[in-house]
Formats: sequence, structure tokens, C-alpha cells
Amino acid sequence: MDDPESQINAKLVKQIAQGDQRAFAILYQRIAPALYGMAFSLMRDAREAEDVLQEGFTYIWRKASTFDPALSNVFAWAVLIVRHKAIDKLRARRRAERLWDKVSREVETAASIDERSAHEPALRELSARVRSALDQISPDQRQALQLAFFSGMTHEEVADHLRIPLGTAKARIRRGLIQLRQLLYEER
Amino acid sequence: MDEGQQETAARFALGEMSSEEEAQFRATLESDPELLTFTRELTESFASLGLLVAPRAAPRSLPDTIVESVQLRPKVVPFVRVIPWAVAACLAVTCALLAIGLVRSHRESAALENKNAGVTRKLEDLRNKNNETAKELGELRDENNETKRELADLHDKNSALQNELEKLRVKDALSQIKIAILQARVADYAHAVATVVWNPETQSGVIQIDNFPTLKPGKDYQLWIIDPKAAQPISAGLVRVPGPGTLKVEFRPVRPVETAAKFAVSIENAGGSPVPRGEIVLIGQ
Repeated sequence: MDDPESQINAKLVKQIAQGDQRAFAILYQRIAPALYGMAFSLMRDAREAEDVLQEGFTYIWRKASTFDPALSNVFAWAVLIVRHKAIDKLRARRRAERLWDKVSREVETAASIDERSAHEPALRELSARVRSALDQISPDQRQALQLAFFSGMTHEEVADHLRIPLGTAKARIRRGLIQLRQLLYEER
Repeated sequence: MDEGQQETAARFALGEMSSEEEAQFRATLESDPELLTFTRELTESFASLGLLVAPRAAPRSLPDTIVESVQLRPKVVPFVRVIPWAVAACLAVTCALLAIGLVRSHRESAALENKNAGVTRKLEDLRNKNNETAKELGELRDENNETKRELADLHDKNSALQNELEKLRVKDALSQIKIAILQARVADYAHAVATVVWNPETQSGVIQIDNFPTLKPGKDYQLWIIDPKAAQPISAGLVRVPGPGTLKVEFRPVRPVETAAKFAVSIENAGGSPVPRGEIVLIGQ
């Protein structure tokens, strides 16, 4: 999605790679609320979510030069970095199993939360589109995809949790994602 | 783009690939713009799930904290104040090096012990193999001796069979030997006796004569073999009688004889004749 917002973020990352602290602060302002919200939904603990956010942005500061605009936009890159940090922490603390219930509750309720304009306008619009697209995906695929993203569970754990074979779990997650992409990019 | 490529791209976006697979897939992406776009869209779609949760106000001071913690800001410190820290640092480095050395030494020692255990095991295996080989060698020697004994037995048996065969051959040869006693055909030879022993295998024979009258000069006795398959009697040579008494003369026919049906003695001109022309004095079978 090479919209103007994404282009601005890409320029900021380029400047961060050259050590520009101001660009780093601006990028933080633009995307940190969304990332922090996501980290909190994963960790369910403000302190831990802050640690995760700090680790994620430390990585961005240090590794900005490795960002490849051909593979994703900056927001997606940052989301996956922070999510990765959160999942590492979750798995290290072996909290994934009891967390998933909270996560699923969170995901269910997120749709009804008024975002109070904390997202940047572009992200707010995208958020609405993602929610709408998810509604059009089959419930099985949606559930598997959300578990894969938010629970920190491995695919095996997702399969165990849903009481389905591992192959079925993987297929649901992958096909759910392919379906989501089609809805977001081809049916705009 | 086929379904397989889509699945692979999804695995990449979901972070399911090993680092090796990921490197390979990245290389593929470089030469396939369509797949690259598809993969990028999948990655962004997956990341967009992060927007399903409500945003939160992030701590404002975090960027500064991060930058401060990452960047080292060199400060000017008086040399005298540095000395204790330098000494402490040296000690710490020395301790660390010693610790690393100790750990490395332990590791190397453990590795050597493992290696030694491995070599000992191999040696034991080789010893076992050697014992097995020696045992097999002993068994093979026994087998070899047994085979030699069997071979000697077979040689003995073979020799015995050869002897038996020779005896049978001799018996066979003897069974084929023909003995003929010739009878006088004329009165003057009524007291003469001639016995012929004929060996068909060697195509030779012996004639023994007794009381044969002495012939006039210019005449000789000639022995004939009568073969039914030959048109004429076959000459077996001259029998010269020097005087009265017993005489043994070995003979050999001038051509091969298939069946010696009869033997005869005739009186021929001196030196003999190719076919009998003179008087037959003795004949027998």
C-alpha cells in the first residue's frame, strides 16, 4: 500500500538509518500507539507491553538500514518486529496457554471499542477495512488466523487448542491470510 | 501464479520458514516481481491484524531513552580518575579471560575424553573383529585340511579306478586275442603243427611252427590272413624255416585286418607274392 502515509514512513526510516533522532521521534509518534496497543493485547500487562515496545523500537533504531521497502511498508515491518518481541517474551514465560482466552476476548471486544482517534487517520481507515475484510472470511479461518497472530501459540498449539490436525490448522491460517489479502487488495 | 507459490508466500509472511528456506525464497522474489508484490501484500495483510486492537498512548520519553541507551556518548574524564577504573577493568578482563580459558580448557578436556572414549571403543571393536577374523581363519584352515583329505581320497579312488580300468582294458584286449591252430591240407605236412596268436588291437601276431619240412631253394613259406571283407588274402609275411624243430616268428600284415577269419600258410617263390599263387599247405581258424 504505497499511500502517502507509507511513503512518509519510508522516508523517516531512511533518515533513522542515518542516525536522525528527530525522524525516530516522529515515526514513534505516528505508529507507537498502534504498536503499544497490540503489545498490550498480547502481554496483558502495561509494564511488559512497554518493555516489548522499547525492544521493538530499539531494533528499529539500530536496524533501520535493513528495512526493505520491497517486502513491506514500514508499519507492517514494525508490527511484525514488535509482535515477534512480544511472542518471544510470551513463550519464554510460558504464558501462551492461559493467555489465549484473554486474547480472544480482547479480539472480540476490540471491534466495539471506540478508538478515540489514537490511530493516525490512515491507520484508522485501514483498521476499519481489516475488520470488514475479516468479517467476510469463514469463521474457521478467521479464528485460526487471529489465534496465530495474537495468542503467541505455535501452529501445533493452535491445532491442539482447536482440536484439529496440524495440517488443517496450517491450511486454515494460510488460506485465511490469502483470503484477507484478496479482500484488502483486490476488492477495494 | 499457482496455488503452491501462494502457499509458499503465505509461509514466508507468517514467518514459518527456516532461515535457509527464507534466504532461498528471497532469492526467488528478486526474479519474480509478481510473486514479490503478492508476498508484500500478504505480509502487510498479516501485519494489519495488529490494527484490530485498540491503540494506546505510548510513553513519550521512550525514543529518547532508546537513543540514549544505544548511543555511547564519550565524556572527557581526568586521567587520575581513570586509573582505578582501568585497573578494575584490567582485573575484570583478566578474570574473564581466565574464566574463558578455564571453560575452554574444560571443554577441550571433555572433548579429548570423548575422543579417547571413542578411540577406545574403536580399538575394542577392532580387537573383537580381529578375534572373529582369527576364528574364521581357523575354521577356514580346518575346512582346507578337510578338503585336502577329501582330495587325497579322491586321488586314491581315481588311481584305483585307473588301475581297474587298466585291468579291464587288459582283460578286454585278452578277450579279443584270437588263437588259431592250422591244419595240414597236404599229406607231406601231416606232422607239421602251426599255432597262430593274433592281437587285432595291435594288428600283430606270433606264429609257432613245429616239424615243418625244409623247402627247396627258391621257395619260401608265406603266411596269409583271410579277411572276409578283403577281396584277396592279406600277406602277413614270410616264415623262413632254417631246419627241423620249433620256430616262433612274429608277424604283421601288410595292410590293416578288420576280421581275421582264417590263417593259412602257402609255399611261394622266394621273396613271397602279393597274393597267394602257390600251394596252401596249412589252414585254420
